[in-house]
Amino acid sequence: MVCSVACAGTPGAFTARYPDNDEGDLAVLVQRIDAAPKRETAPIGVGVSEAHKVYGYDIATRRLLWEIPAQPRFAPQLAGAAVVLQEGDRIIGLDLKTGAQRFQFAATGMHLVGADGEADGCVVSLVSGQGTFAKSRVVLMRGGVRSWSRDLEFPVGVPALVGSVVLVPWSNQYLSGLEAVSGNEFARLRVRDGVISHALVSGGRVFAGSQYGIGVLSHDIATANLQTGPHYVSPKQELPGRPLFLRDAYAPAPLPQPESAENRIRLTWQPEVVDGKSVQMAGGNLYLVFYRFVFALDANDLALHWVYTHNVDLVGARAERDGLVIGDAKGEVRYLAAQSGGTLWFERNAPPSLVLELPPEQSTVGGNADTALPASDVRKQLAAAAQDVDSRLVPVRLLAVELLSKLTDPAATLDLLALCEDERTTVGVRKAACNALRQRTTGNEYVLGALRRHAAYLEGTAAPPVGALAKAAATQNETRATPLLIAHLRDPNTPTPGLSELVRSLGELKDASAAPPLSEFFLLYHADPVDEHVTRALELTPEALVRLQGEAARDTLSKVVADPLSAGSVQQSARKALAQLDEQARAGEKNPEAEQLAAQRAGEPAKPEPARPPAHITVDLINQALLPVHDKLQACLRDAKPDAAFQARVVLVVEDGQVLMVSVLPEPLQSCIEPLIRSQPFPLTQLSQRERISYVIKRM
Amino acid sequence: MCARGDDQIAAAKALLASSDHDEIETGIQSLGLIGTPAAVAPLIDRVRAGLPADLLETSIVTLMALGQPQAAPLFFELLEYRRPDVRIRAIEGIVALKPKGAEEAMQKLLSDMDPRVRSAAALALGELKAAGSVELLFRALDHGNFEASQAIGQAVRSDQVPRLLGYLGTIPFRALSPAFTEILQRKDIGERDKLNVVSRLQDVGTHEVKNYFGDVMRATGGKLPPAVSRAVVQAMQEIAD
Repeated sequence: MVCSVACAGTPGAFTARYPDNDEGDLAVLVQRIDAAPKRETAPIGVGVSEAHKVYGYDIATRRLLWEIPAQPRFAPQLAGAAVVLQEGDRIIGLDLKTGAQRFQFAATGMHLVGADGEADGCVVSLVSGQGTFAKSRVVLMRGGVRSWSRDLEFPVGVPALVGSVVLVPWSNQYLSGLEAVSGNEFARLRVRDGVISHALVSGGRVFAGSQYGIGVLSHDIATANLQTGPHYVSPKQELPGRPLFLRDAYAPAPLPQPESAENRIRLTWQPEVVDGKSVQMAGGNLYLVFYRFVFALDANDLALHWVYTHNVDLVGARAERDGLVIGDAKGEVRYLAAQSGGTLWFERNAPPSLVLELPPEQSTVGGNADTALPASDVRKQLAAAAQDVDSRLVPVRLLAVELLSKLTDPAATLDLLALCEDERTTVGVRKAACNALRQRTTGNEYVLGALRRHAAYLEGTAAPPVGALAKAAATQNETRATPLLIAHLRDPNTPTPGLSELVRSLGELKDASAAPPLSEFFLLYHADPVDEHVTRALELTPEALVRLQGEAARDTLSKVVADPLSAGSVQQSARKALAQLDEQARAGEKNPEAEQLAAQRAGEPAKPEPARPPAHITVDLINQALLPVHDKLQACLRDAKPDAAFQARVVLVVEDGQVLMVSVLPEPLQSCIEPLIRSQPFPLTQLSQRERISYVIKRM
Repeated sequence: MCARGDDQIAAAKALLASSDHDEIETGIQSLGLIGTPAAVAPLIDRVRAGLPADLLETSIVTLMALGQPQAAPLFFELLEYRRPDVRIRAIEGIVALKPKGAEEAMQKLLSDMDPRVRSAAALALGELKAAGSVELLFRALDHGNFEASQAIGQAVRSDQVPRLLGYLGTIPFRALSPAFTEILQRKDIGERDKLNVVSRLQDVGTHEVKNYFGDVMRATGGKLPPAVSRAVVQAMQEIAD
């Protein structure tokens, strides 16, 4: 038989000389997969229990079907009527309905990449090595018999069996169509616009794609472009745990081990082709599963539809047409409605599990009787998620904070406030909530209410997060906050770290009544700055006074400039503000009209669109931050002793917009470069985490 | 004399306006030595204009030494100063001057987040014999401000003494003993109440109480009412070593 195939001179498959993107071949391929009978997927999931057994669970009848001892190396794969798993160096196929062994064969040092099947057919792909060192194999089984096996010297992806065609993604860009009967290649697609790591069947349509998105295999593929026809591009925004839209089949370990956290962090979705033109996700949802949470996110813009919180880790999840089936580590299987996340049914009769792979394309597991939750409930869900004490959940709690910050519901301001001042919560979450609070444009009353509170020992009250609230008040242009902020400025029990933001916000609010108390504060402490936070607040006061009083601030500023006992940086900042006033006065003398216009503009309420803070400090942001001192930095390099330096390598530690550490190489440049970098403000980030960044200043 | 005083004030003011730290200090001390009410205003102005911590303290001490009621508004302002040490000095200044509003100000400071300030405020209320603050002082005592005990002893009414005795065994005796010392010495507390205190302390019957009675006898030098003295001596004899 082998001789007859080889001697007949058939090209087999995956040979280097095979032509790709042959329009005729591709047309035949599409025609054949379109003609394939619609696949019926059994409503049976397969899991690995904590007791190291593999089991089958019927989600239609909601009962355990079978359970057998096994030691699978990876999460088992559903493949038509079979379950494919790898035990040691053996690939084993089990009957999906009974758990009885259907086939097994040696992996010969390779590991399982993926499997798919229809009826009694089952295609399995295996790989060893990576990249140019990869050796792969594709095997088609019929019942318990191996139909054929094809080896290739390239990495292989996750195949699909579609009627009489086996689709095999390989070497990142290729998708070969093989005869299911013979294993001979009859069409080859090479895409020019992306990666193909998976072929998959859903809703009677065949898709190819990768973690970056999927496209329908239609006649449009003749353009060798997956995005010409109906397609879906996965969101680029980084999600908690960085789950991939489709797992990376070309990774060194493409399948997770049963114990892997990857089984508890995943994206699941069910594609639908709408009007033959576009690919959309069932229910509009892209489900992010993160340990105990499910976030139903809008498949296009990642807006939140709902949040579901479970009591234990979720080890399995599968998007269906009208909802989401989930399985937890304790053996509960639950069905959530696509529109609301409400539970349609649940059963607690599966074994405690490490992983549960659930079948796609089920429509018999429960109708959607629920309606969408009101927005306030979504807010409550988000607030509860953000407050969860599970330390593993910080990334998803940060996502919850971010989503909370996007809600226009005023009560979201209160939720963010509660998180911002919860000292027991994780620092990153708290800082993210405080940053989000600063940007709130609604919920003024909550901001004012919080500012009315002061720290009092006997009353058992703590000071609110004054800095964030002050900024929020400024964002909201809420001048009713002015007297409340002044009360905090005066209150020695209000912690000093929030004072700098408070002073800046008083300036931004432009309420002239703040000027006298601000002047008193400035004079009282200018020679006794108490601590670094008061010092920073004092440094910002001159600018605020100029904004509030203009020329009338001159008297106060002059006193501090003239006092040799003033703290150095405070005096310098007062001097700078005076110089600014001088300049304004000169400009005003030259052009009274311009002055009038400037005054008019200054009086207009500023309505800047709050820009979303960056996720991390990037080199671009550093470039931007250092722009004002660019020339001086260049001078440091140029004037370095004994010889001009070609470049300086800088390591920065930045937190909350402040530079905590600057280390410069070569060392002689440290004294010149460090103060310049420290003099510049850096942007706040979403997470407010301490970041260490390497940066190179090149001589120009 | 008046013209000479004016000259001295003018000279001190000139020193206060100096850019030299030591000259300012000399100016403050000069005003303290002048000692007249006229010395107060320049000092107040200088404090409000902002001083380094050491000169601020010198100024407050000088103002306290001057003992002039015009300084009271400044002391009230300094109760909100961001250094706890300055707030404590301001409390001392207010206690010395006993201006109107002192009791309310001290009540507020019982809620200060700095424990030293809270303690100073409690003691100040005792010094002020702030009978209207006893309830708040009990609350402070409940919150661990043991200095409130002495203040309660100074300000408590006779009918409130049993409430204080109720704390025996719930907080350390050494924290309560200053209150009992005050009560035993107060003339406005009746003999029966004092005997009750001695009796309750005798019931406690610890070595610490016995020593305390010894200390009271030594400290009061026989100034206690005879019946109370006898009761204390008897209690000391009856408490086993």
